Amino acid sequence: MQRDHYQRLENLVMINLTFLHNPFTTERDSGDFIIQRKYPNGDLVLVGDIGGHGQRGFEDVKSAIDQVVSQQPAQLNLKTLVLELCALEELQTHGLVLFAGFFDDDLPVLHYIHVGDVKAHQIQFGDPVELPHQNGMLVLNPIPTLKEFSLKIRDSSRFIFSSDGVRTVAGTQKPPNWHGPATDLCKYMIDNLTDRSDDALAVVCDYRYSPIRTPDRSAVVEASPEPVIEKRQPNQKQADSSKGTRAPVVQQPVSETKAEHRIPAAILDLPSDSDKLLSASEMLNARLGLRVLFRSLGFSNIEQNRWCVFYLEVREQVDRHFNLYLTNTHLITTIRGDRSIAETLAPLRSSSRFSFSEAEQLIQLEHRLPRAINDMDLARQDLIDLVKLGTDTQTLESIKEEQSRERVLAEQAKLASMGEMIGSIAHQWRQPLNELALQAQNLQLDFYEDLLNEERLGNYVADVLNIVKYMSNTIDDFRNFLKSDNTTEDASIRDIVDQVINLQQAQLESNEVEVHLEGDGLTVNCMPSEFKQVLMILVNNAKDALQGRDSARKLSVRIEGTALSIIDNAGGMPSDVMARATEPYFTTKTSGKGTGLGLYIAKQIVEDKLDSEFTLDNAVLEDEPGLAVRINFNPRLVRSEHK
Amino acid sequence: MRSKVFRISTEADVQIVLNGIHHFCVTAGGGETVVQECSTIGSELAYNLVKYAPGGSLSISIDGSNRLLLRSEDSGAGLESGAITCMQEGYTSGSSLGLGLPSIVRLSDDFRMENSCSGTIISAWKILS
Repeated sequence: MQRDHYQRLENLVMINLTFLHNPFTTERDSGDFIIQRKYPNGDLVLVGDIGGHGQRGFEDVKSAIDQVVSQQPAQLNLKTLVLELCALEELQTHGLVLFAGFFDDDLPVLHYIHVGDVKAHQIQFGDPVELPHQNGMLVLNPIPTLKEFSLKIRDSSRFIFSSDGVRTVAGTQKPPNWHGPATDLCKYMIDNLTDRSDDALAVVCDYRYSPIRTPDRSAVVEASPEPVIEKRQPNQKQADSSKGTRAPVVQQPVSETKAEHRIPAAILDLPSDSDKLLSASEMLNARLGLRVLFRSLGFSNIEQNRWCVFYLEVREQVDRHFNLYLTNTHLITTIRGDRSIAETLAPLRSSSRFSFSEAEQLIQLEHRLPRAINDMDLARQDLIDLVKLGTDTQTLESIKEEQSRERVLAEQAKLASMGEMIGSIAHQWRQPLNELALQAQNLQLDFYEDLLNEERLGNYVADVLNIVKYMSNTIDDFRNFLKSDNTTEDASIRDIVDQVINLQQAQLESNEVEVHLEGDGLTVNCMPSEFKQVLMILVNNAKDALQGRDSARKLSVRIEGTALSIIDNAGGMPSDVMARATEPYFTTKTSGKGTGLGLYIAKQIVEDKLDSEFTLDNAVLEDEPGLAVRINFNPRLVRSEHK
Repeated sequence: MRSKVFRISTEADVQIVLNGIHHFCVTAGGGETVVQECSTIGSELAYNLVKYAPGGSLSISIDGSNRLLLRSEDSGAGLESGAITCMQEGYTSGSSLGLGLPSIVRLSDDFRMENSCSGTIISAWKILS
């Protein structure tokens, strides 16, 4: 069965089902059934046999099964389907054996659940091969664990399904041409493989799969053929429609549009209540909103007027709400309505592509834009902004420029801190890597000295694996650190400080920096990962500043009241440097060492994200001059403070 | 050696497994492409075991038709959303790209999966060339 043409053509998958049913008595009294359904992402095929041979009432059971299948959601779950079938009251005295298979459209895969003695065989190259399945009978002889199988299948595969009235397909004495015409094969199975004392159903399913290139998912897919509505001839008078002779409207499938392309009604100052007629002022507002939109899209003045008139007449004449969608190349209007509405509107917009779907009761107009939006260098969102802000393209561009500069700065800061992170990882790995090298050498030495036995080898392996585990844990630690979350939570400042110091431990020790932590009890509502970034920057800065120092290098992190201070004894900052310290790209570090973004970003985060105070001051730590960076948390964010 | 089994419980085990797969494929006479593809399949299977199951086992062997078989087995809760949904590109029940299972299907010459609430078994075959 072929996919409907107007749906997205990603892969061309075809399932051809041929079947022959030979009931023991009548079709009505036969428990065998076959159901096929089309889904957005594939095809469902059910072949089943309702238990209770010789009983009556199969019609009701089949009808109930059909209903359950019809009620499945677009996102099918085979297990849910089968469990819902098992819950059917009609099946409680009958039982059911079933093959429920789903041929996936996007991948060459068959998913299926197969319980009981319905037979399923796959023919690829030679003889039929039975598919894995589970024995039992649904409802009456239930299996403890329902299994779902998935199977990669080849293009031009063939499947044979049959009820238990058909004896085993494989290994027959006079095998047919398994790859021959499907009808012949079905006939062969019914004529030669049934014992005539039971209902028999033989199904041949031919599968074709040919993947083609996936089109751009964000594009609107064009409706296929040209609309059949006759375009009004230039010399035909408008009076035609008033005489009652309407242009013929023929049903056409409509293009697929997505919600995110939709221009919000508020942009156009149009009331979204579809039943309400526009008042005079609303019409005026709508006209203005529409004009701004069309002007931005590059419509000429005449076109702007025409479109405004059209939309307002849609509201007036047919009392219809409409939706506008925008893609890179088209303006698409959809209007809910029946055939008579379509016939009324069709003559009004002869320069657009007009289509109508009876099934969906949807009228659609597609108007090609004078210029593609990406030619105008405006993304769709920009266009919405443009209309919203009521501004011109130049002003909008400078706003966008400013925003993108901030983004670039944030990115660079992220890269900078990632760079530092990688430095820390490298530092923490140096020692274990040395260990690994040592173990390898010792192993070799033992071998040459004939000392290597199973026990020693086991010890070496255990040691090496331990080291590898440690190194892997380092990655996890840093990765957790880098994971960004956008949720705020009540976080203990001391805990965050401890984590950051822990991560930096190796580097601080190798730089002989003495760290002193003081205070606790301060809990603040913040984004912990953002605040960790601030602390990393400040601790790194202190560590770098202390490197030049010959005598004791000290770093003190203090929590007092609602404030956190980071103080070093690196000599402090001259006033001219302090004035510029939080400027982006300003750094006193030697070239290659500092990006000049650290303090800028730290200040931004504290002031913008935490709405708190960030100050730099020269201070004294244990009688030695240094720098104090203080973060005074906004009281409304403080949940508990250090006493 | 015709088969090898690895137990996987943490991410640290994955690299060991990948090295093992690489070595096995090369020893079995697999060409460069086959080795690379097996490593990719093995990587996807191994990471799935770590991320979504309480660990499991991954084995590599050569079957009777001289094909490499990579098989992962776990006793987790299975694919709760069902195989159809989990095979969709971009679908993930975690925070990954959601390209794992479809990639394994595409890369392997043959693929089978058995999914139930008592675990998942995935078998992927590659023809040695």
